[in-house]
This record gives sequence, C-alpha cells and structure tokens, in this order.
Amino acid sequence: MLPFSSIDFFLLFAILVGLLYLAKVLLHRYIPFSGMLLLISVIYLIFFYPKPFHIAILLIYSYMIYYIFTCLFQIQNKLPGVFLLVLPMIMVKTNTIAANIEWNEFISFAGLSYITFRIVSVYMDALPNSKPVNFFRYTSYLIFTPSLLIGPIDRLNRFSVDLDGGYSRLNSSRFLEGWQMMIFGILYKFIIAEAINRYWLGPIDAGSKEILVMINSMYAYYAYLYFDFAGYSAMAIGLGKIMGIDVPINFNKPFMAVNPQDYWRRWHKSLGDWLKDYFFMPFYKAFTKWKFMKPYPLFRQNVSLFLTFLLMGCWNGFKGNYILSGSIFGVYSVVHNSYIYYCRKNGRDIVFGNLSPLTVKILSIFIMINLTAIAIYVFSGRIPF
Amino acid sequence: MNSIIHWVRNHQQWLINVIVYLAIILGSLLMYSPYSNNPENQPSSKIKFVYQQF
Repeated sequence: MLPFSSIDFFLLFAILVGLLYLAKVLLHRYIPFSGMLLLISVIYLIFFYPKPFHIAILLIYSYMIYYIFTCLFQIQNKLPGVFLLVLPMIMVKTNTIAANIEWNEFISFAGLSYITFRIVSVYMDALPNSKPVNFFRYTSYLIFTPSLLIGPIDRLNRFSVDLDGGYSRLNSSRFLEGWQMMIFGILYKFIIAEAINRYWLGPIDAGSKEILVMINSMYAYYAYLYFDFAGYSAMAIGLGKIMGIDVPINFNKPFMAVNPQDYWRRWHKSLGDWLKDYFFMPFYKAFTKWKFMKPYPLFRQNVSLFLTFLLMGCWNGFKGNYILSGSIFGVYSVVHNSYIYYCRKNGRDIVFGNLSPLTVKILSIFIMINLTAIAIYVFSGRIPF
Repeated sequence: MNSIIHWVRNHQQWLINVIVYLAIILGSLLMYSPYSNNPENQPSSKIKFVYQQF
C-alpha cells in the first residue's frame, strides 16, 4: 500500500495519527515524540510498504558509507562517497546486468530515487569533525511516511528542528492547517488530475502527427502532471503538518513564473533547491579553480547550469526524452542567465526595451508557460517522432 | 450589490471550503462511484502518481 494511493492508506493513517495524539496525552513521559514518529514510520514500512527489507539494507549500507567516510576516516573529497551512495540508483536506472544478475530486482523499490536524494544531502551536509548523526534520527528522517515515496525532499537539519520540538508540535491549529492542505491535495489528485486524465488527456491520440493534436496533447499532459504531482505534494505536506513536521513546499503557482530561475522556485521547488545546493554550487566552485575558466564567469555559470539540468534529466532515467527535456531546461536557464548578464552590462533591457513592467510581466508569464510546456511535453515521451 | 460583495469578502475562506468539498463529493460520485460511466476505471488500487516511476 503506497502512500496516498488508496482509501486504506487514509484509514490506516487516521488510526496511526490518532495513536500519535493519544501518546501526546498518555505516553509523553515514556515515549518521546521522535520515538513515536519513528515507530509509526516503521510500522507502516514493515507491514504495509512493498519491499521493506530492501529499504532496511539501503539504510544500513548508506549509513555505513556516511560513517566510514565522514566520521571514521574524515575524507575531505566527497565525490567517492557520493558515487557509492548513488550507485544503487544508477544500477536501477541503467538496468545493470552483471554476473548474469539483473540487479534491478534486488535493489529497486518504490521511492529509491527520493531516498537517495535525502541520503546524499545528509552526507554532503556533514562537516568534518562533526558529531555523527544518530542512526535512529537518520532512519526517522529517511522513512518519514508522508514524503517517503516522491518527496518533497526535506533536509535533515530542518527535520531535526521539528523533531526536537516534541509533542508541542501537535496542536489544533497545525492539525487544521494540515487538514486544509490534504483536502486541496485530494481535490487536485483524485478529482482534477483524474478528470483531466479521463476526459482530456486520455482520449487524445498520442501517436497523431497533426500539429493541433500535438499542441492539445502538450497542454493536457502539462496540466495533468501539475495537478497529479502538486496534489501528492499537498497531501504529503498536509499529513506532515498533522504529524508535527513541516515538510517543505514543492509547488507555488508555477504558471506565474516569469523566468526559468523563478520557475524552479515554484515547480518542484525542493528538487530545484537540492539541485542548486548539491549540483550547481559544487560544479561552479570546481570550475572557478580551473585556470582556463577563471576569466569567464558567465561561461562558468552557464556550463554549471547546463550540466545541472542535464544531470536532472539523467536522474529521471537514461532515456532520450528525459535527457533531452533536461537539456532543454538547461538551455532555457543558460539563455536567461546570459540575458540577465547582458542587460546588466548594457544598463537596459535588451529584449523588452521600454515596455511597461506590467506588459513585460504578462509577456514573460506567457512565454514561460509555453516554453516549459514544450520541455514537459518532451519529458512525457508523447511526441510522435 | 455592495452588501453581497461585502458578504463574499467576509466569508471568502468559508466559500472556498464549500466549493472544494462540493467538488470532491461531486467529482467522487462522477468518477469513483459504482453509478459512474467508467466502470473500467473504478478500482482505486489503480491510482498511481506520475512521478512514482522515478
């Protein structure tokens, strides 16, 4: 039973959340808030989530790497550790077959990519000589049910602050706030996305090469993906709030974005932040040290941006449509970054000239909606060529 | 007219809630109830999330 995928899940969590609130009243002296949350996650994982043993193995494996590389040997270069941490995900994405074994069957489980993201963030954020993260806290962070399957991608430091807040984080105002989010999530996913799928996207012939059909397919898929994913995120945030954890927001009116930078602050924001911190910044810092790149800051930024989005495409899967869609998003960001650079250099807007700010905003929103729709259409794999 | 606008402004959140709950109830009846026109799409176990594949 995957999170939020059936009525059984909602009934199960009504009971488990009830127990959590009961523990606040009756057991707060004996079981801490963090312990109770971990207990709920473990119960769900063992009895209701597919392949719990696989997750347990990955947790132990990743914690060992984290401990050996950062605490035991204090290795400064993070690259070997990161490689070992993302190795299971790479093997699954590339469908590696070694020694006549299809590793996919052994390693793969629902939510592997998102757990890997969180594992990498713990490892990358670990400072040399710092106290190691407690394994129970590490587990609690990685298997927290609302964000287990497809995010939003939280950070351990932020999660820990909520965990340390204790039972006081369970109160009526947070419960109502969470409930409101969950209701919106249910509306988005189970009603709007489902209606789009059945009555708009479904009947479209994806194999048709007629331009109008393709345009229709493009907008239908974009709308469907938004309501599906934003719906899940809203439910995850809502349930997280009810359970006392502020899962970060993932979507914030993405169709109002005025440029690619703004878009990634509104669409799958937690992934955008993650990519910025763990891909873009290390790339940019590494390129700064390269002699031949040092005099060209714009070039450095653009190469880092493009590589970041290319890797994002590869993360979705080593397939042409995902890699191409990541590259398209990379090109958008590179063009926008260069545009900002030359606007500053010339002291004027080199594209919109003297148009009023409102006109520029409306035009920018229109352009962004259509450009991102094209990139998402490529991502969908529904292009009939 | 002014009083209607005033009332709507004062009850904005309440109205949004009513619309959302109504949409969920009507949408569920339309798409998930045994009386809907899509019997092949009934089982909720079929529900999956697009991003789940990643």
